[in-house]
Amino acid sequence: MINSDDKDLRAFLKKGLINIPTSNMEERVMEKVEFIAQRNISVKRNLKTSWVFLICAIVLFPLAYWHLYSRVDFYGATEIGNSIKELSGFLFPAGILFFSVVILLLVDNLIKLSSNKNPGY
Amino acid sequence: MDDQYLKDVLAGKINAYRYFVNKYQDMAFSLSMSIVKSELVAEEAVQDAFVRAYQNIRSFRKKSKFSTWFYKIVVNESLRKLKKKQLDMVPLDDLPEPGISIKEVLQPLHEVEQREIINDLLLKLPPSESLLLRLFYLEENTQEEIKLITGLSISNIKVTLHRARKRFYAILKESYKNEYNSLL
Repeated sequence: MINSDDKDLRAFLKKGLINIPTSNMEERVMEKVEFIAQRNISVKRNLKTSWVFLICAIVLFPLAYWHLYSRVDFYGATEIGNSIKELSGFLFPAGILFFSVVILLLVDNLIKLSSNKNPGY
Repeated sequence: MDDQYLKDVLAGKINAYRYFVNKYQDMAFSLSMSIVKSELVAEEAVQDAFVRAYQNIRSFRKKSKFSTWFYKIVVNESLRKLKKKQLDMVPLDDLPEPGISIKEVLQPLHEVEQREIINDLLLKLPPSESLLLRLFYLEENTQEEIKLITGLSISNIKVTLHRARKRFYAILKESYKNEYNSLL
């Protein structure tokens, strides 16, 4: 028959706390924690910069594009200009489509990164 | 006390996290040892657990105590590092009822010797049983808290605790029967 005096068992198992043998656990952990904290700050700063550049690209690229498109007739006098004029009917809309897709993908990535509260280790 | 330091950590005061490392490292190490049975691996698991807890500290919702939440991370990290070993254990069914008292065996010994014996016995138990004994008796967690830490059901916890106590006494008698007999 088991002499299962639970109070005795509890009292003795209370002595079973093992002290961690290494004395520098705190320093080792804090070193990694500080690295993570610094990295998080750096990631946030990079995200802000990325948003600024993205907005600039959304504004400036269409401006540059429109400027080029509006000067297509300028090249009409030369042989090269004739080729450009022929291709412009296709190239410019394709360029706008490509630009839109790239911008949407970048915006999607930045939104995900910005909303991620734990950028990672 | 935990709440105040938690607020400081969330406010960006990284050094406040030292409080948690100092307070919980020994118990975390004890729990990890229950599972991995190796000091080196347990140290790594505890270190990784502290780092993971910091990374996820914003997700701590205060529905439980910080210790409950943190020990769950320790258990998960330890299980990650665990390699399956064969333990030399006496099959439970073959064990005679011990019929001994812990007090009688261990009382005459010094505290340091008692601690060594207790940890030696706990190391011989299967990880789940050793872990539950430490959580229930050493840390005095309730069964609900143990359920949150380990993911086991309440009925499973009760059964495992009962089995753990039985095996603990059996190993105690088997390992220290000479000391026991000499006390009679």
